[in-house]
Amino acid sequence: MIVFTIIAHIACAQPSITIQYAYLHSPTFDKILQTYNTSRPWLEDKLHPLTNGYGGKFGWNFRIQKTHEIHLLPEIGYARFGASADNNGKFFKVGFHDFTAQVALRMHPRSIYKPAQGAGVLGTRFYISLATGITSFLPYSKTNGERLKWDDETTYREFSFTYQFTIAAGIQYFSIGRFIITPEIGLTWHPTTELTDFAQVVNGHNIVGLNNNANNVFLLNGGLRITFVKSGKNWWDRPREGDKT
Amino acid sequence: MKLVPVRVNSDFIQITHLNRRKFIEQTAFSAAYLALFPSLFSSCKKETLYSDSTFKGDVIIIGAGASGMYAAYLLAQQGINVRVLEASDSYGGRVKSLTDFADFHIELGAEVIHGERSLWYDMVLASGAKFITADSNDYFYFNGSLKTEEEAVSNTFFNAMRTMVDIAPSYSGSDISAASYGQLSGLNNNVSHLFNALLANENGTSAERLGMHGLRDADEKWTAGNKNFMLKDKSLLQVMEQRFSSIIDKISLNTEVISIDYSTNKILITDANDNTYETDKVILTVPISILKDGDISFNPALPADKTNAFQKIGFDVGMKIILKFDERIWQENTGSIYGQGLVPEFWATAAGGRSSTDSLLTAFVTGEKAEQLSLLGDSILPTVLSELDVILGDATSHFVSGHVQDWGNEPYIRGAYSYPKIGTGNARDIASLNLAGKVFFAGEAMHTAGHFATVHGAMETALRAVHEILMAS
Repeated sequence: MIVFTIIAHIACAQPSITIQYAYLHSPTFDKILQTYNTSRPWLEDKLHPLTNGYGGKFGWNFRIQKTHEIHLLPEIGYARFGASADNNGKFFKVGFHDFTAQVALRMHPRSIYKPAQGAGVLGTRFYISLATGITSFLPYSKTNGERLKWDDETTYREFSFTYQFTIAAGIQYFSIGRFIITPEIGLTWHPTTELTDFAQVVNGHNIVGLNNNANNVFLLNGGLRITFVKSGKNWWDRPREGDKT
Repeated sequence: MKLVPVRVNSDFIQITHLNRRKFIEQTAFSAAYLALFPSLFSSCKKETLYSDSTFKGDVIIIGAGASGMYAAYLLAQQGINVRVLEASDSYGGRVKSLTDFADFHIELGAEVIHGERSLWYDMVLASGAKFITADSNDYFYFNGSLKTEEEAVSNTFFNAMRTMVDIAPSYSGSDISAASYGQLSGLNNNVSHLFNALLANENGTSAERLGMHGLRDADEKWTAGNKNFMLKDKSLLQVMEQRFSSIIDKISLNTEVISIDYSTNKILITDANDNTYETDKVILTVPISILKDGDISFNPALPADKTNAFQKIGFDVGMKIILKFDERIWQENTGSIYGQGLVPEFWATAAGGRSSTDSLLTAFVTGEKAEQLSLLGDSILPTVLSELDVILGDATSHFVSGHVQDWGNEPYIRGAYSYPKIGTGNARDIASLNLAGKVFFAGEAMHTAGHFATVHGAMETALRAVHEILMAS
């Protein structure tokens, strides 16, 4: 019954994918790569601190409250932050993968205290969303295309888990057929994070007080959400009768 | 274009269906706009440290080994006025090569680059030096004959010994010596010399002195990788000279520091010739033996826990004896030969394409055996050759010449490299703490994360000292 209900809900929901860019703010993690560069002043190609992440999200848009047009979006996401430097025959790549599972609550700011009207299956055109979820970080290191192996045997694969909060805003900007294109910006806050052994992996050592655990890591996100609306007669094509539009 | 207004209460919004042309225009515009963001954000972050440092004082570095030269190089890169005081008549410390003995540079001190994840490895790469790549075979002398590893593993006692060595880093008992660990593990006397060679001699001491906890802790903290590298066409000193060329003129040789007064704002350093030097910070990179023996006096005196910590860090004498023969009297592709006498290990010095004409062996001895050998004086070479006669047959008749590098007899070094004793514990943490933010400790023995006894470890402690000076201000 539960499975059936879930399937039925998913069948009624609108699937969406988001192509996303994220700016990483974490002075703690910056120092790890800055130390690498500082300790090797001769390198012509520096490892730039991890800054830009690229990835995407996939999820469904459920309308959970019609009067106020409150929507729920379970989503899974992925982003990759990387840096590389090519010096003296050593092509060194480091970074981390960011896997996220989150639930977002979306609504128009005014619809919190006023009923929304004529908003259709995707809710209001402009919206804000509040999301929370879990994130897993997986740092990586590759030299000349080969993944780092501890003791030449065990591949460096250290997952860490944490939680995050995101506040975002978007606008259902235009449609192409049944696809609704929605620019979205957001700010994600990770109260605590860990990139396990990352300082040692990058620098080969850690006696200068580098920290693989960082508090208050922020991601400034910008993305383009593409939502598939099942009905050919989507909500802004044909406003419901009685709407004052 | 078709505009459809939608109302959310009083919010009047216009929704747009795009035609193809408008869509392409907007997409191209948005893509260009978005592509700009990453480079804008990237430019917000600095690639290196220290740009915010306000420290503009002078730094004197004591000791011109790998650690001291690297510290001077880093500080000079930041525009800091540095001077290096070196007690001996040459720079390089325990990085030293013999240049006129064969048709290639022979390393008399540090020789192996341990691991590929270190700034030292990267520095060597940047120097353009080539690594030895040839595979080699090791030989073991026991029960009266020299055996290949394949032959040796058919011996039960050898196998058991090999296992003891392999699992030593996961030892979980109380802090005992490696010799006791061997004894408790049922080490057979016929192979105990190999146990000593493989476990203790490599670590710069004897099995009776090597502490199991320190050995285990170092292994747990080791992060540089397990591959070892040796250079084919350059000496390690040449690599350092190439990289540190800008600071070599800042080194004052034959300047033995005897006291450091850090009681006032400015630090006063006095050398053995009664010259004084004034500075804001000092990085002390001398071998731990100099600190253990109290060769440098401090005002205020060093805290007792610090001097105790120095004593808890092991540091034994060590020797490298280079032997030249008129022909190769060992198997081709020989790596190491593990013997049974005073020399635990010989290795083929010219292997891996270093030389096609010279036949050389390096005898490597540390700890008690090095102390015994060192006492023999002029008899060192005959003694070593007589041991080789037993292992390889008639070595003496093929012997051409030899060179003895006794690190214990170097007046400003007095040993090989540091090792963990029983009870070393956190001594390196205490020993490496700076004094009042004025005197900083570096050098291989001061490495607190398992990379002591290596060149890269020494350099990393220099980075820490520079970091402490520049990040604190």
